[in-house]
Amino acid sequence: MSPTEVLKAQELVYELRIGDIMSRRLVTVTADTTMREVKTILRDRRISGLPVLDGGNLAGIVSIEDLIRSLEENDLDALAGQYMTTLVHTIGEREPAVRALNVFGRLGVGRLPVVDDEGRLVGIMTPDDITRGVLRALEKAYHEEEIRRYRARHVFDDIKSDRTSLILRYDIPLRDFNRAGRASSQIKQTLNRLGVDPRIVRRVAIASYEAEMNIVIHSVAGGNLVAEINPELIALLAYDTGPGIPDIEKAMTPGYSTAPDWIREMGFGAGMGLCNIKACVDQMDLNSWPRQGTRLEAVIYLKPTEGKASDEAA
Amino acid sequence: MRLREVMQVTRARPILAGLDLDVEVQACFAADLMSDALRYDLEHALLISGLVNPQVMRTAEMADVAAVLMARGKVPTPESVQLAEELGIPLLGTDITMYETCGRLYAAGLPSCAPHSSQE
Repeated sequence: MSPTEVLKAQELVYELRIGDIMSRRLVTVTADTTMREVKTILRDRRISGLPVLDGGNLAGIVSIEDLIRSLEENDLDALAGQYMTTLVHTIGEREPAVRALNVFGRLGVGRLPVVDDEGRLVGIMTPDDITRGVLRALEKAYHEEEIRRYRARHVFDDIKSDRTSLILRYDIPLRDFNRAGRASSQIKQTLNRLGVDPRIVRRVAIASYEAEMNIVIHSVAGGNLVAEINPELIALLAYDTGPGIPDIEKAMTPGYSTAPDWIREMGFGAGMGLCNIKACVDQMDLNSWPRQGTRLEAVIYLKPTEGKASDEAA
Repeated sequence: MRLREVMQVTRARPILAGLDLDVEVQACFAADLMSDALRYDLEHALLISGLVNPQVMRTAEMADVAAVLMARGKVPTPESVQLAEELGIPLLGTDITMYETCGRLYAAGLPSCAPHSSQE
């Protein structure tokens, strides 16, 4: 198991409820069942212990160990009520699986009767049930993720049109350094889910993130980021409503920045943003109008043959 | 170099519990300005920084960085730690200066990241 899967398994032990993983096929006896009958049930059902009920309430557990004691005493006609263990720990069906794990570890018992809120016996569980429950849940989670990925990958095959695109639109707030990057993060996740080559995903993510941060840092009222995805290419569009870039050529010079010191304290203003975008994309078009705004368009081709411009860009 | 060794060499501690110490870092880059870092190919790399806000983790996310190491005793903001957890990116901290942290790792054989090559 990979570390993430181990973490997932740990999480599941807390998430899974006893009621989800216990065995509901209860075989019970009453206090006046003979040990001879107990022996037959344990053998035929291939189980190691039986809850003993008295007037519908749990009175104890009779296990193989108790059976052995009665065999040693040559006392198979005795009643289960005489040989059962009466001090029985129970566990609530709504408690997390990890509770059962703790009880098994602490008491060294092999099985725990499960009761509902009113204390009625509803099931029984063994350490094996926990393992089985976690494995089943892991398999289900894995399967669901696989299906989601499969569906996403085939979205462009399933939808018929002359030109199908997926368009993601984001509002980028100004100077929110805690939330900034959320849009690019979601674009990246979407591309991963669509099964795009990770190297291309990384180029899109870096270009998109730099464009997003430019809006966060330099715009006057925030702006917008749009990613259009189709089977051939990914087009990014970032636009804002000002203040505009006075000298685009200068702005493209590596290391040139108009960002104030406090922006540098936030980790930006290296004067590399636009250069990084250019290095990551196949086509870039930057237009700006003083006091009106800036519009950056960039294209990254998904198929290497169409990305000829990439060599020049890098 | 495995994260376990990075921690020994730089006397680093995990800021986020539950680290996979067998994560492999193949190169390293150090910067406080994130766009300086993004100029380089940071895939499977260790990113050393003194930037405490969540953008250090966002940068790591975009560039597929393997792990982030906070130098000179800088304490990442709770938002950064939360983001690191969400992204599943190992986050370490050391009290050693960035200069010395880099020096130790370089001497231990961890190479510098290269700029992005022309796209494959």
